[in-house]
Amino acid sequence: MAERLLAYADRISAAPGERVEIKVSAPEGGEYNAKLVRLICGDDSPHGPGFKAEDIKSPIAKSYPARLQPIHAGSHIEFRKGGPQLAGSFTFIAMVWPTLPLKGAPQAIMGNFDAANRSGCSLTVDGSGRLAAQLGDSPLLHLDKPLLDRHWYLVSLAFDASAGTITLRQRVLNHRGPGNAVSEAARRLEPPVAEIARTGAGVGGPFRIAAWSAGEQTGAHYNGKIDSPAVIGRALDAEAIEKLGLDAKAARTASGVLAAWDFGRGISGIAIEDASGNGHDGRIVNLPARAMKGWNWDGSEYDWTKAPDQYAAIHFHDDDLYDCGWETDFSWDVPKDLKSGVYCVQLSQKGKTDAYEEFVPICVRPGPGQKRKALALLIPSASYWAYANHQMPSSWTFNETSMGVFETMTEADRYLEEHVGFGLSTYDLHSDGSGVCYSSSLRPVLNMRPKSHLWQFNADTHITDWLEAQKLDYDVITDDDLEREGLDLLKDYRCVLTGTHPEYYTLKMLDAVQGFTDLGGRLVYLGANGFYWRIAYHPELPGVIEHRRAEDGMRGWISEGGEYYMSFTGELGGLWRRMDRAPQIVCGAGFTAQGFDSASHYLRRPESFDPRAAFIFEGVGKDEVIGDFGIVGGGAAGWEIDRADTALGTPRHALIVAEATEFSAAYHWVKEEFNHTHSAIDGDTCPMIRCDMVFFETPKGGAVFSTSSISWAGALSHNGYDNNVSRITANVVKRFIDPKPFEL
Amino acid sequence: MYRIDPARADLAREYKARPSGPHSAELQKLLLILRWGSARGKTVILSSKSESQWRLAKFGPKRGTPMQEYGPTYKSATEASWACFRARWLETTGHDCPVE
Repeated sequence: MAERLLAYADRISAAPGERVEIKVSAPEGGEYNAKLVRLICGDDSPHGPGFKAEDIKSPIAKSYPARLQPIHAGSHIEFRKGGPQLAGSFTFIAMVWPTLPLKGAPQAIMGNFDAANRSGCSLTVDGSGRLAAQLGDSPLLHLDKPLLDRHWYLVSLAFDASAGTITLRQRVLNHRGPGNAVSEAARRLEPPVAEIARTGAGVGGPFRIAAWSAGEQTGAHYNGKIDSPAVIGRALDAEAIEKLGLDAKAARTASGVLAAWDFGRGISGIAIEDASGNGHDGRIVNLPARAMKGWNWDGSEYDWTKAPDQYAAIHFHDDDLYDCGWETDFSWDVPKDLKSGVYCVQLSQKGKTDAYEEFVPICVRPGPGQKRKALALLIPSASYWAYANHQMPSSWTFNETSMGVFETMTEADRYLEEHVGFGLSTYDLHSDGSGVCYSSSLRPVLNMRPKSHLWQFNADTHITDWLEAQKLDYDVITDDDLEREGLDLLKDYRCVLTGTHPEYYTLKMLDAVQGFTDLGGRLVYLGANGFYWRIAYHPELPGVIEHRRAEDGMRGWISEGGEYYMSFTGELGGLWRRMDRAPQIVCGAGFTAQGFDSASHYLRRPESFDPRAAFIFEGVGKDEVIGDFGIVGGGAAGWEIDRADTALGTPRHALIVAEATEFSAAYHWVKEEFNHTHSAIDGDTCPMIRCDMVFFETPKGGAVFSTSSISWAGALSHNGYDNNVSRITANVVKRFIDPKPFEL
Repeated sequence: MYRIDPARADLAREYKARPSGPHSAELQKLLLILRWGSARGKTVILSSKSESQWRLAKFGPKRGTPMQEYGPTYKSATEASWACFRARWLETTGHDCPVE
C-alpha cells in the first residue's frame, strides 16, 4: 500500500482575519505544493457530479520543503518535574484492571525505566501477560501466573536497597477461580545492587504511568485501568501493601510516601494531582478515558460527579491519540474579503514513483460584524469528528449484516487498517476491545476529504454543489462554531440548512437549533438520523468530543454499566430521546431505520395538498414519484431514514407531506424503539420502516422542513439538477429565505 | 439454524443476477450466513481509483498489518460483489460455488 501525503489544520472553521495553521507530513523528501481552492463538490465517483473546485489566489500557493512528521499514539501520564525520584528503597503500589495482558509486548504500569539506556525501574505486564519488574539491565523478574483480563488486581513492586531484594506481588480481587488469589516472587540481587539495578538518583528516565520512556519518546503503553497508584520511599511488606492498597487515603499520608495520585480529582481536565502533598502533579497525554469505574465501585452511584472516589480509575490505551502535535508547515491568514464557503488547502507531491494528493477542509464563516446571508449551511462538524477515521470494517463484527453488503474498503479505509496510530472514531473499538469515547480533529482525518466515501463531509458537498448550481448565496458555519456561540450564531439567518447526517449534538447546540426555530428561524433538515446522540466538547481542549454509548440506540459498542456519564462535563451521555429531547421535537422526524443496499422513493400524501404545503410542491405532479433516482442508493429516500411520531414530539400540526415505504429486508428498525425482541423488524415486515417528509410552522413566523433521508442530497444533481428532488428543495429554500412570516 | 446447501445453484444464480437485491427470503438467509461475524479472515472487496477498480482481498491478522489482494481486477462493483460472493461461498461451505 502506497504511503500518503497527510495533513490537518488546527481548526475546521475560521473567520476572515483569523489564522489557520497547516501541518503536513510528506512520504518523500523534496518539496510539495500547496494551493487554496473553494470546494463546490467533492464527489468524484463515476456517477456523481464530479469533483469541482475553484482555484483561489493565495500567498500560501507555493512549494514547501517536505518532511515526515511522526505520530506518537498511546496514552499515559507524564510529570512536570520528572516525577518522584527513586533513590534507595521504594515500593510501587497500584490497583490495575488489565484489558490486553496477552498483547505480546511489555506494557508499563508505572516507573522510571528508560528503554533507550535500560536504566530505572518499571512495574510492568510482560509480553506473556505476567506481572513483571523491569529493573535496569537485570533479567526480568516476573510472576508465574498471567494476569486475567478485566479483573482488578492489587499489584506491587518493592525494592529493598539494603537487603538487595526485589519483590513482586499481585492479588486478584474478588477471586473466584482455582488456586490462590495471591502470587508473589522475590529475587536477591548480587551486590553492588544499585549498579546492577541501575537505579537511584540520576538514573532512569522521567517517571511515567502507563508507559515507559524511550529516550525522548514513550513506549510500552499499557492497556487497561489504573487506580490509586502510589510510590512509597521504603520497601513495604505484604501487610503494609494490603493496608495502603485498599486505603488510598492512608497511602497519601503513609510514612515515606513519595507520591500518591488521586485520579478522582479533576476528572474533566488533563491535570493529575499528587494527593500526598509532595507536588508530583502531572498531566494525561493523548486522552486516556477518565470517569471510569474504579476497583471500589459498588454500583450505588452511576454519576461520577457524586462519587468521584469510586471513579478514580483511568483507562489507558496504546492507540489513544488526541493531538498529533505536528509542527506547522505554513499558516493561512483568511483574507478579510473572502466570502464564506467550504475551502480546502490542496496539497500535492510528485514522488519518485507515485503522485500524492491531500486536502485540508476549512470552513470560512462570516466574521464578527460582517453581514450575514439569508441562508446558512450548518456543517455538522461534530458528527465528522464522531466518525473521524472510523474503522468499522475491522472494528465491528456485525458491519456486513447491518449494511447488507460485503465489506468494500476504500483506499483510505485500507490505509487506516494498515497503519495504526491515526486515532480512532467513536464507532470503533480500541485494540483491547473497549469502546472509543473521545475523538479529536487534531490529526489527519482521512474520511473528511473530497474524493472520499460519500458519507458525512463528502456527501455534504452534494449540498454545496446544488447551492452553487442554484446560484443561491449562502454562508457556511459549523457545529464547532455553534458549540462556541450558541443561538447567537444562528439568530441572524432566515434559513439554516443541515448536512446529510447531523447526528451528534451537545446540549448547547440542540438548544440553539431549537431556539432558532422557536424565534422564527426556518430549518431545512436535509438528512436523517440527526439530533440523535448527546455529546460534549471538552471545556478546555480544542477539537475533541466525548461520547458515551449509554443505555440504548444503534451503537457501535456499548458503554460499561456505570460509565454513562461523560468525563468532560459530567452530563449523562446517550440518546437525546432518553432525555426527553427526541429529534422529532426539533425537526418533526427522528431516526427509525437504516439499510444500505438500495434507496427508495417518496409518494405524496394527502397532506401535501393542504394549502399550507402548496409552495413545497409547485411544479410537482399530484401522482409524481419523487426521487426514484440518485447517487446514494439509487433513490432519494434511503441509507438512514426518519419517521414522524407525535408521541415523540412531532408537533400536532405538522404535515407529513410525502412518505417512502418501499424498503428492502436489509433495512432494520432502530433497536431503541422495540422493547422486546421479535422478527417483524425489517423492511419487508415492519410498518415503522418508512421515511416521512415533514413540514410544520413554528412560532414567530418560522418553519421546519425535513426530508428525513441521508440519500436526499445525492439525488439533487440528477438530470442536470432538473428533477423533483431539486425542485422541492428549491421551492422550500426560496420560500424559507423569504422574510414573509409563516402563519402558525 | 439455516444450513447452506452447497449444491443450490439457483440461489447463487439469483445473487449473480441481482447482487444489490431485493433478494428472496432464502437468499437473504444465505447471505446473512456468509456475512456473519468479523470480516477479518474472510474475503472482502477493495475499491480504488475513485471507485473505478475493484479487487478481492483479505485483512491481515490484526490492525497495522498489510491486507493481501488477490485475483483479477474488476471493472464494476457488481462484478466484484459476485466474485466476493463466490469466495465467501467457498470459505463458508468448503465447496466451490456451483455457478461460474
